[in-house]
Amino acid sequence: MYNDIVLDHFSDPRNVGQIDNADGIGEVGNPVDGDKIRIYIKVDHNILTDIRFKTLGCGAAIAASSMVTVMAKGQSLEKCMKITNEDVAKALGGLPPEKLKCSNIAADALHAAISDYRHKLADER
Amino acid sequence: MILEKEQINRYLRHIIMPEISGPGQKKLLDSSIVIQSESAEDSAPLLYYLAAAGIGHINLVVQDEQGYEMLFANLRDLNMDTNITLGLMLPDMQPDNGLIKIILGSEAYVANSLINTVDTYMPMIIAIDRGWEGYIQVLKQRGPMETVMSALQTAVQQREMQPKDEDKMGRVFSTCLLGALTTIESIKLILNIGTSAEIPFDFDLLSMSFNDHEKNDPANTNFFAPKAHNYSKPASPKRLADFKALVVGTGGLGSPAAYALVKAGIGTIGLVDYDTVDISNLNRQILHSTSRMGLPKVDSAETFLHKLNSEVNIIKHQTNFNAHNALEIISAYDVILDGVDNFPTRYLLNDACFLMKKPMIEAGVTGFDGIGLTIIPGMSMCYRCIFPTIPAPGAIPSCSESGVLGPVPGVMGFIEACEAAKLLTAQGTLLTNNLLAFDALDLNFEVLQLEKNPACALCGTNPTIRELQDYKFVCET
Repeated sequence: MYNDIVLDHFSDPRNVGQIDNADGIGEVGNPVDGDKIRIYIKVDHNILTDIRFKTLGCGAAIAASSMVTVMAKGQSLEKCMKITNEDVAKALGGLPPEKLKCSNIAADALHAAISDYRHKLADER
Repeated sequence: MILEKEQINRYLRHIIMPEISGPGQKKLLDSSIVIQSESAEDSAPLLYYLAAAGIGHINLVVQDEQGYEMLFANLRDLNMDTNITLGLMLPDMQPDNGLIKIILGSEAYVANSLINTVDTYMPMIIAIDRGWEGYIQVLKQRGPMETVMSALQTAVQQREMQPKDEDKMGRVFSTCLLGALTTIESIKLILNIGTSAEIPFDFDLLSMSFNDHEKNDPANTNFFAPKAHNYSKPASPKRLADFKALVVGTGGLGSPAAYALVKAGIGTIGLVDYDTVDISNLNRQILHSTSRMGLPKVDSAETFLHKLNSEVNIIKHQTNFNAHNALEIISAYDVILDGVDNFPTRYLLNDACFLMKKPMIEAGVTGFDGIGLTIIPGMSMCYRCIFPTIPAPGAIPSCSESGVLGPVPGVMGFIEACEAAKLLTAQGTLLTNNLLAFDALDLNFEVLQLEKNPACALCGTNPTIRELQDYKFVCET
């Protein structure tokens, strides 16, 4: 059902875990399917220097979380905000159609983490 | 990839859990376990669950080898990833990370093995069976090992003066449960997750009591002390061979339930399943095997169970259990065991058993947790008394979404079989009006006392469900 890229990221997820003093945390959940993704980021001079995730969900959700962290690490926040769920699915070589809607929400979690970071920054000022 | 494609599918239910994931499964595949057991037969449930979980190397040292050829052939067919050898310790098995030693047997056997252990392999797990009772402890240090050793020696000496009271049926269930629990403790040690049972844990399946000794006696001698049992044994217990049990679903729960009932000598076992064997079943569904992938599960289960006990009469129902056939299927049986994987069928089964006045043994699992209860229609609370309506689709994730540790359904399925056997032979205390909650990460069983709900739509004072309804079937992906 899954291709090799998805299987690889699902069985050996990159950047899994949490960042204790994260600059931003984003969480998205899909109440119907039960998938839940939390992303932690570290930001330095507008560059996303570190990123970790914790995901409870199906293989597609885990693979998508892993892939989005690989795509975002080292990039500027503007570039990260432009990563879409579709980009993630494409980088994974495609996801089964029934998974595209429910489990392909990792980019949303990334965007939520960046928004969280920006809000905190605004509050400090 | 760190795992082969086939391995990812085989261990899918493990890999999906964040506590295990792919790297954790890889650790299990790289690990080695040495088992010292009184007999090959007693170690079978332990071996099936260790092999299903993908433990890489198992070295079995047994006193009584009888039956090991069939056992080893079954294990190889269950999972080729597990390399299993019989006999002396292999020289390359050194106590590095991932090597665990398990000692499994009677008090006398475990006491002797501990005394004769020249090299002290740590960690070590001791699992002791005694009739319907069992004891398990994880030993990481010499101190606790010496404490348990001296308690064991005293117990063995005391028991030599008493008449032997070996309950064969009880031993089937206690060795089964010990096998699944010991597998869980092994996996927790290898992956360094949860709390290991360094504080001894014991159970009595006849009275359904589960104790850890944290509160009372950290020196753990309670289990070994001679004690008067608070249950009376019938003078001539009924024979399990005279009864018919139905197992609905031959998967994670149905496999251990059917295994233990057939091993204990049930006369007739009915198996309901519409599904075929898939590789992702094999981390936990011990009745099935690699060579039987693609076959109907009821056929695969029959092959296994007949090898286990050629005398058992097996009735196969290869069908989707639904509102049209439920009453007819269950009508021929004395007890019904729930091994289904979805809520609509669970409610259907509960309602059908109530309407037909059939006792039902209930269990459910997810992740590292399980629940169980026994329902006698009209006498004790039913499933709807606690959980009145079918959860909305997705409200509770199914095993395919949230994963399940292989031996966890093993624990709950073995308990189901034990409850069915006690009910049929009129022995011991049942989990009626009690909800058993199992937490594998902490090795904890809680028994919650509950009561019939007078407002229950099925078995309450003003029931609104008087016949089977439309049960909304949620598609499992």
